[in-house]
Amino acid sequence: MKIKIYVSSALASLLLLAGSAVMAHHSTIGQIREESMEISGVVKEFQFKNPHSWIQVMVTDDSGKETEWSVEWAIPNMLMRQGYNPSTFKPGDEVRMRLRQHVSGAPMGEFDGALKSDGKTIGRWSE
Amino acid sequence: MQKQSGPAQQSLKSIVLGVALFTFINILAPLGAVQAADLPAWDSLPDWSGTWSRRGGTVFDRSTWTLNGMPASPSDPGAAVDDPNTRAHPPYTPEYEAIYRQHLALRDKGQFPDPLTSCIAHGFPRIFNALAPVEFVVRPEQVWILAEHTRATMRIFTDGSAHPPEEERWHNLFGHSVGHWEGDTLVFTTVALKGWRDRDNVLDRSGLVLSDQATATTRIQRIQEAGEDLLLVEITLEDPLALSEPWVVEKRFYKDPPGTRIFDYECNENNRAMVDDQGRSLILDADGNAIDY
Repeated sequence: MKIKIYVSSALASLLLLAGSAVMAHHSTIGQIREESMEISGVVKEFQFKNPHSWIQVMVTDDSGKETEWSVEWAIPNMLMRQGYNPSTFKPGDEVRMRLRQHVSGAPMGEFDGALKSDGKTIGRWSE
Repeated sequence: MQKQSGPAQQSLKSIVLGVALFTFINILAPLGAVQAADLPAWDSLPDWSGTWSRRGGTVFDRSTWTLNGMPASPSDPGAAVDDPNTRAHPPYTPEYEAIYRQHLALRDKGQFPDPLTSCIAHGFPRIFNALAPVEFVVRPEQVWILAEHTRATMRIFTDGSAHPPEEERWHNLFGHSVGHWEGDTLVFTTVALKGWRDRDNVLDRSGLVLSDQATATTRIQRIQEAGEDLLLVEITLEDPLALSEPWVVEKRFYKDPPGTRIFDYECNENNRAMVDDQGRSLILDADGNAIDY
């Protein structure tokens, strides 16, 4: 499975601060890990809907087993004003995505950034 | 050919006139629906067009904003507890101070259920803590404050009408507001708020609450401050149950760049958060099941 931890805890804290700006709708206290991780997969659906947008990503592990990840992003209204739109992620897009995972280990997390196969980056992304 | 009015037609006319007069005196006039002569002229009203965004945090009481309990962001930082410039802790009565402290403790554990999580709209004065842009629509008979976030709409009647008598008031999220213009300053009073009565109305994310006896006097004016074009909102809250003295809070709004648009916000469209019986906000997975932890 293409999942790895990639950032230091200091950077993770910064990301947590920045990411939490979009988390006004519900509390995630105690639910989301501080460190960011990365998944690679194919976008199944981009739910560009209120109150928060969600990116559903299918990740296939080394044994061929598929898992659907739910990655929560910002309020779509804010994303629109930042230049994103419902076509920012399309079904079938191959992506590397960085997120802070739910503490339970469930395939869910808070979006930090993504790199699409065409080289386009979305959100915060640095190699 | 012209018809002649007979006695029956004359009686009908009298009845119609009588009903119209009765309606005017007993229904329309008390509702303030016939105050056109008292309305301010369009050209006397200030131009508050465009969209405006709040300067500073989404809470009134920045003194209790903790990083762990209420994560801040680089663009929306918290404040030092004893900073006199930002401290706005309400002068609560002991009863309401205890309620607030309880809410803060729950908040720090992620167990204070913000009504927003269940998609209940902001009321007054929380509309001034809304996340996204706000419009202030000025008309002679009403001012509308339209917040994108939670689709909150506040109406302030400036047509000379009065608050309804106390026994007829419907206490709700926004209450009932009537106001007038003092030059370019909008001054309005608000009554009939529901407060914490139904456990679904807070002033901000920290869990600040008032009672259903709270009233407010609000002044909104456009100011130039430190080179910025701002709308200054000053709210004086009074509450015989919750506050030991009037509590004054301020919010500032800066004008968004030209072309900024407000979009629709239907919170229930895809709400993947739920509140459990412990007050925790659980997240729903791809199958709609709550992710416990």
